Amino acid sequence: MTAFSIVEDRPIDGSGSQRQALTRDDWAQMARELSPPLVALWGDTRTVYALLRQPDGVRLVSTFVEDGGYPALSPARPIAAWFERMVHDLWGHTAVGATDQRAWLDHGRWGHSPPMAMRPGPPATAEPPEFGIAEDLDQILLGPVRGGIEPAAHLRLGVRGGTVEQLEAWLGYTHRGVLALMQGKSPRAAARFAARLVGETTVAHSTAFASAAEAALACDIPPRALALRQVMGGLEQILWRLDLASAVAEAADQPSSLAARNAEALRAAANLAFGHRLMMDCVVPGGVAADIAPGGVETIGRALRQVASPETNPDVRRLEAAVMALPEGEVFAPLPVASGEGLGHASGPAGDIWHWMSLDHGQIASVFMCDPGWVRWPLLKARMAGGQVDDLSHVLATLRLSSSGVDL
Amino acid sequence: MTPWRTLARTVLARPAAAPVPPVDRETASSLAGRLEAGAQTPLGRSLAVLHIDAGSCGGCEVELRSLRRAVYDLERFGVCFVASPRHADVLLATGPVTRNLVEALELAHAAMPDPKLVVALGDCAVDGGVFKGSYAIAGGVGTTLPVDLLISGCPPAPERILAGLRALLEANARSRPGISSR
Repeated sequence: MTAFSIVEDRPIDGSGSQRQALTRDDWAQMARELSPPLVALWGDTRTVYALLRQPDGVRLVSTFVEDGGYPALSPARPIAAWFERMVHDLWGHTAVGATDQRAWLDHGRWGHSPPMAMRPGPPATAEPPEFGIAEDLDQILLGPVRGGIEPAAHLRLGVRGGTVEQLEAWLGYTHRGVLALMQGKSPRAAARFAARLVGETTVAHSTAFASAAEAALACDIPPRALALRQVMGGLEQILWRLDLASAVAEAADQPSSLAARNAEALRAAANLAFGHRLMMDCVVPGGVAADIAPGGVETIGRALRQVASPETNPDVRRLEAAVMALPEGEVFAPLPVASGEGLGHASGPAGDIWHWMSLDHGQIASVFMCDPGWVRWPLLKARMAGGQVDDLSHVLATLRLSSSGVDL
Repeated sequence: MTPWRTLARTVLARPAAAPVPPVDRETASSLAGRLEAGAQTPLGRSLAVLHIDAGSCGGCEVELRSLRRAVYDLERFGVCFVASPRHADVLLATGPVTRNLVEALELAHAAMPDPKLVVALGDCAVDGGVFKGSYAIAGGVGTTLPVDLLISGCPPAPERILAGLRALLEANARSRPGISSR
């Protein structure tokens, strides 16, 4: 497990938040070389954006879509393939030279397609994509309804005997159209969609979203709001790990009563202190929705000491210290109604979360939310390759993949 | 610590499972009426539940998992989760019912044996919740299937889900003569 890190409140600023508009040639050049790893790729009606990791942070680049297309990044960076399919299904831009052009989010069930294009056309065909499972392998089809308490996804395993030789996932079943719903709304109104992208990491997503709005408007939030966000983020981090421990134990048929009781104690404490067991809608652009309840500091401190001894566990010690040392003052500073563009980051329990938005007179003109699911789902294929079919439930439990985060 | 103290602590320790309030009589009665009219096969005092993610953010699933674990210990009431609609008495759906999942939801329901009880769990499943108006959703389980029980909340707390499922159990037991209700 990674070391505990408190959710960051500010986007990586300086050069990171300055978007660099590239010509088509420069983008194509970058696509050929692409030495910096790709973090995310998304679009809007006229532009595609790529977030690249740099040694000192990230770099955001973009290029205009010409003739309905842009040079694909997937030949150099396989991780780009799912993003390119998503961009095609939502905005209709074709990644020229892409390694994979099969349907992704668009299963042919929407009233018009692509739904976020300037001029959407009739629905796409309702055919599932061709799965590239070799003909001499037996196929196991799982989902989208998989039983248990699992997110909706279709998995196709190519097996020989009990050994998994190929695995393909088809997602999009939980596509709710959140990006379209957020457009034209104020950051405050759209925050509830960011909070519901992935319920288990609602604080981290809300924090990244709020940071993007605050970066776009060049606003600072009160120190007490910042500290409360860190407390909530820290609680979510611990809860996520407790739930992971429970899930892994259950996959091995050895339920852990300790992990379950500790998680319950923390959720009950979160409910008393912040008014919600998952702390959903508690982090909002401009600060936090409400101050910690009277007695909340003691409640959280008590619950943390029940979960682990602060003397031995540095994560819990740090979080307890943060709760005890909350600065005084306001917890919310209203954001101005203005235009701008900003990138927000949070270290969520499952990995880095990036949100980007462009505001036009206080309304969201264009937005993207990048969940760590985009890099975690491909791990399933890697972990299962050469493994046994029986390993699947255990591998799924350890990865704790979310469909809704990448389905949008 | 002395062995006697350990022994005393073990004997006196309370179980992890939380105490539960009585079943909501009103919900149980209204469900009993519906079941008596509609149930063809009595189920007894157990329910096999098939969970379907119809576009959930995962929040409802967090609480469903809590419900199964030590503190709420759902199985002590005879409620278990199954993997196939063929074995399910209850279809429990979360999420606003995305258009991409409508067909799977219908197929699962069609594959269930009677009485095919349907529970819509969470505000999204009740009526689409915050996602109302999206091109990508049908707008609640009721748009696709006949719903027997709505459990609102975003997400509903485990106690609330438990109250709903226990009312379903109670109603089911009452609809079957010869099995007394607690």
